[in-house]
Amino acid sequence: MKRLSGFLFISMWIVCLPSFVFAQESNTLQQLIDETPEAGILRLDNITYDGNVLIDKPMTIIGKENTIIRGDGTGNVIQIESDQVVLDGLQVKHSGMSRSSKEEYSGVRVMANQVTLKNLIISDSFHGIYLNKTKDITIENNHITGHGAASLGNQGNGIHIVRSGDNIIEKNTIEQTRDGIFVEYSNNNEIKNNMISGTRYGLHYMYSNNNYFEANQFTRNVGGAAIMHSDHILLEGNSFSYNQGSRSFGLIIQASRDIEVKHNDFHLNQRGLYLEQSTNNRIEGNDFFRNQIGIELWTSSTAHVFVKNKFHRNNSDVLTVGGESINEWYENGVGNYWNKPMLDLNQDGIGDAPLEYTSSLNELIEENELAYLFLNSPAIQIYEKANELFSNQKVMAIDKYPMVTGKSRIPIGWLISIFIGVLAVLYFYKRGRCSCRIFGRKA
Amino acid sequence: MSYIWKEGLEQARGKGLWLGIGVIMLTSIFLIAEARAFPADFGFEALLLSLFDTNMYILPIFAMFLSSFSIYQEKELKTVMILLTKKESQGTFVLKKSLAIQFTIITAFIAAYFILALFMKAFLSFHIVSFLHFLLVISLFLWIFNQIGIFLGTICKTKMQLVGANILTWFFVVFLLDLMFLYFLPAVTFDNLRLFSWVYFLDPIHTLRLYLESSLGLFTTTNMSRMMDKFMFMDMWIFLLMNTILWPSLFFILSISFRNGGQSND
Repeated sequence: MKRLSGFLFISMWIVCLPSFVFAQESNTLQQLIDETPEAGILRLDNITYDGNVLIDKPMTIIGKENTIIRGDGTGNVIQIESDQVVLDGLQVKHSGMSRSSKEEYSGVRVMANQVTLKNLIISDSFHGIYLNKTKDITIENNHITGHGAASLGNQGNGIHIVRSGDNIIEKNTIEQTRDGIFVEYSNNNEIKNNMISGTRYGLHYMYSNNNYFEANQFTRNVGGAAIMHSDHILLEGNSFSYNQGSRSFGLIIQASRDIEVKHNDFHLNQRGLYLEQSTNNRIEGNDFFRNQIGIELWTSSTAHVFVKNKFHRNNSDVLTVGGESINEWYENGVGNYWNKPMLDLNQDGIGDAPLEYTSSLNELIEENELAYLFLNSPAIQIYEKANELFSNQKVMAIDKYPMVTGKSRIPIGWLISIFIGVLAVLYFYKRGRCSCRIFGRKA
Repeated sequence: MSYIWKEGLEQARGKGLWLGIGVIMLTSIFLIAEARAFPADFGFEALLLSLFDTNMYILPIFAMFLSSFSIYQEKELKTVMILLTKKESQGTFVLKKSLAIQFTIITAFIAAYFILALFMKAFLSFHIVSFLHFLLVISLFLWIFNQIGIFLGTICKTKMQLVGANILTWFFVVFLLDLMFLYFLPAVTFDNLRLFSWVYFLDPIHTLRLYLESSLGLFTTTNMSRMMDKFMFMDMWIFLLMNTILWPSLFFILSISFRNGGQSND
């Protein structure tokens, strides 16, 4: 009996133990996948394997530093049709690039749930990762590189998500693709800590609700992030910077409601935040620094609340284009930091008089998009002053409780050292001249 | 070579060049201090663009003052008369003097920027290629405005006239031209866009800035609207080359043709 129970125990242990298959060069990758038992782990060598492959059972594939899976250029390099698949540490290359085929191909295409894709390096593919009708996918720490701006129309997106919910997308780096992350008809996703640059739109987001974006960096794209036809979204702590071009923006919110934009950085964009046909959005605590236009609002966009935002050195802080739009620039006695000289005699941090932000540039911009070319021009200030004198300016925003900024961007230590430096130069210069004269007299 | 040596000594002994370089360095140091707060990745490029925006005001006026007074001094001290009666013609004199002024002023300012580069390297993520693009743009900026200054120095008869001409030219180029553009902007349509584009890009300040922006990767010419596509119908470097050749050549020819304010002395 003892012997039987011992045998049974060992058998059960062997059954429960994950199965390891060590890849050998003689087998094709598809064979290796087929030979790996369900829930087994397939460890690949430091070599190049030929794709394309189909994974249709739960399993884990782990690669080494130089494990490459190279597609044949006619389809998806890796297609996942089973739940509970994990891909870890692989380089995936060379998917089909055809735009006239039945589907758009990708490096990794996921058509199942509870899949984890991590530490992948994907390049030379139409889409990097494609999720279609999936749930609970984790995409983590991957690096996806596209073909660059020159072939923007001939390639797909870094991560393409369609009809997929409850996914976590974090710590990925995406560059040079058409759109960084494209999301369509997908709810309840968390997109965090990703870095996206050199794309058309860093984030292209349509018909998707209840999603959360945190600490992503959208830099040097044509447009940082575009949120369209979507509701109930929270964007927090993201950076939308250096999105420059003739039509560039940090973040565009179009035809969307109940979007919360909190504590994000909008630095050096042509337009920091662009709002169009949207209502009831909350813009709070964001930093608008050195954009050509901090916030551009079209008339179709109303009932927003702007509060505690900081505006520094933008060529124009706010422009309302297309007529008057009704928005709140303060709430519960708190407005925004406008970085304009104002009195605060009672020292409560709120300016003593309401701030009326006026400008005449809105008409120029409405009439001709070439006006953006002149926003950096020294003549703009004269143009604004001239229009102010002739009362041609219009009110862009009224903040009854403008906040008073106390913090300088230039550290005081720097100012002191520069001042001392200048004094020292002057002192030695004068001393030098005196000694010369004395020397001359003596001579 | 003797012209360059003489010019170098004169500029070094005068206060104008040092004042110009001092102002540029002081403002640049403030901007570098500010740029430390920029995000690390592209903060350096943003700083270079800020420097250019500041230089847009300062450099033209210093370049024009320094070069115009240099050539005016030759007239005032009668050295030009001596040279012209002996071995030089007006053409060769203006050519040699122009080369000397260009070399001296451009070298001095570029040297100042190399000193500033030490600060940039110490406090920011320094990118040498971006910096070289910036230096190229600054050199061309000085190249064009020095030549305008030489023209003004040649045609003006009194110092007051020269000061006035310099300030007016500076105000016209830096402020008034763009103001005129802004007032004409509503009249620009898709049909007459090409003409507007030519006029826009023949303003060296516009071309130099856009060239710098695009070479630093802060302005992309992809995904442009139909209007912008038509507007930017040529590569930026071609416009840059045109400005570099056209304006200095034009003002050089004018300097020879309109010496003494257009009066002829028989």
